[in-house]
Amino acid sequence: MQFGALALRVHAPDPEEVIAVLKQRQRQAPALLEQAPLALDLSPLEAEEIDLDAIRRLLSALQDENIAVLGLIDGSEQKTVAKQLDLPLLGSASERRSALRSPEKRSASDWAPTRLVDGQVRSGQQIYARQADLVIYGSISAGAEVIADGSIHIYGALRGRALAGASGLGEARIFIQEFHAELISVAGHYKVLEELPENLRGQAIQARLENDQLSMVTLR
Amino acid sequence: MAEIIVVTSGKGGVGKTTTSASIATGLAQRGKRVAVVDFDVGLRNLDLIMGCERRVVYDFVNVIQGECTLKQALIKDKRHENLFILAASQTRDKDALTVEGVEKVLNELKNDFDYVVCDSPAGIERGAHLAMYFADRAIVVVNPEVSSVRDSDRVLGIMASKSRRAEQGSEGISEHLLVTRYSPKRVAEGDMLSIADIEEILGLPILGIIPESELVLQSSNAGVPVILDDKAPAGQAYADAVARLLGEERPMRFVEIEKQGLIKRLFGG
Repeated sequence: MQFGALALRVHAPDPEEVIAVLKQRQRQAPALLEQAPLALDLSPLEAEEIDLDAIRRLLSALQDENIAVLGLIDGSEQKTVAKQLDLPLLGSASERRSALRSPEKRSASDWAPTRLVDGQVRSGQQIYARQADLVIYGSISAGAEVIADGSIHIYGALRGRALAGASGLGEARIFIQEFHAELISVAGHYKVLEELPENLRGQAIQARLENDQLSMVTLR
Repeated sequence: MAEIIVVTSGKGGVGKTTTSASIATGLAQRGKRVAVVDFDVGLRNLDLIMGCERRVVYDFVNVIQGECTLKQALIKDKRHENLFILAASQTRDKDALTVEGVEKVLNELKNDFDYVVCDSPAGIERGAHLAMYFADRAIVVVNPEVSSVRDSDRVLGIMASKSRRAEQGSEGISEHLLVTRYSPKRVAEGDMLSIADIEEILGLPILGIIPESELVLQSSNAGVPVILDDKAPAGQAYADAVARLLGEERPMRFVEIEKQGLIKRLFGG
């Protein structure tokens, strides 16, 4: 089973702490939580750590922040919890993670159409393609950031940052017509390019994960 | 109806006010009715560069707050009778500017003038945002150095998303780059970004290139917009920029290193 929501993995049942972490994330990437439905994943918690009152407080705190909670991701202990909290169960966490990592299992329904952006992305701007590939027809300035849950194609120069596979899709790739990036990342494996490798500067590049290593090679 | 032109940059000290004064004067020289408005509330400078600092009675904030009429606050330029200056307030802060107040004043100006030139303060805060918010056209002033180019890029991004045209989803602000303090010699020595670099990074056409010159500072101090000095390269370059703004084609001048004459070479320049 697969759905288009962000999973919130709860490591500590303390609502204040969770909200603080979410707010920090929101500051880093304001687009990320915009109208995003969340699924609570309590699997990092031991059964005895699950405190129903704390989770109720967390739910109401999330509601105060205008974050919609879809339900609970199904784990071994959570059928009873879900029933007590009156939340729907949403398929198991392990199944969900494996689904994210293998594109053939991805159903068409939850993957959005490719996001197309015409024109230059300027310093300070951030573009996020949720559950989609991202195509930029233009350059990305230093200090600008483009993020996609899928792959990113840039028909122009990349001087800022590009982060593909933002929710863990290891197969995501980044294609860049003219490489001057500050940072690139695929599925959380990132590289800060303080010094651009001479052989890659200004070249057309493909970035992808190979054996969990970020590789950048010129296009032929 | 007038066209509203904002002169902006993000970074301070790059030549926004010098440019506002020269562009406004240049448009007036070409027979247009022009109002130039200082948005830098609290750090008013435009009146100095236009040489009318001793004639400021009422200012922009007075008009917004209804303490005087727009007519009372507009200062007629001493050289061109079709050029008027609206000074910023030196004693208030930027919170005195409101969206509604600025809109009201600009609408009134639009009825009487062909061009309204808005001199933006540095930064991306309230004053700068309001200066660009109602603009039809933007002149982004940039120096040939990386920090100035990045700040201009940021300002262009804000204009593309937070101007009234962007919010209404109508055609965007028409954007131009004006490179000031350009020194071909220092570009050749690798100390400055070249025109090609700036054009490529910002992806915009260049309206003009103003060469670095001590005369700019001298004429600012004297309260004479440098465009009035038609023998100075900087003045001529501003005149070219104004012509391009009006749709004329002019070749770029002052972008090559000046060849030294024999006498200068013999006796040192």
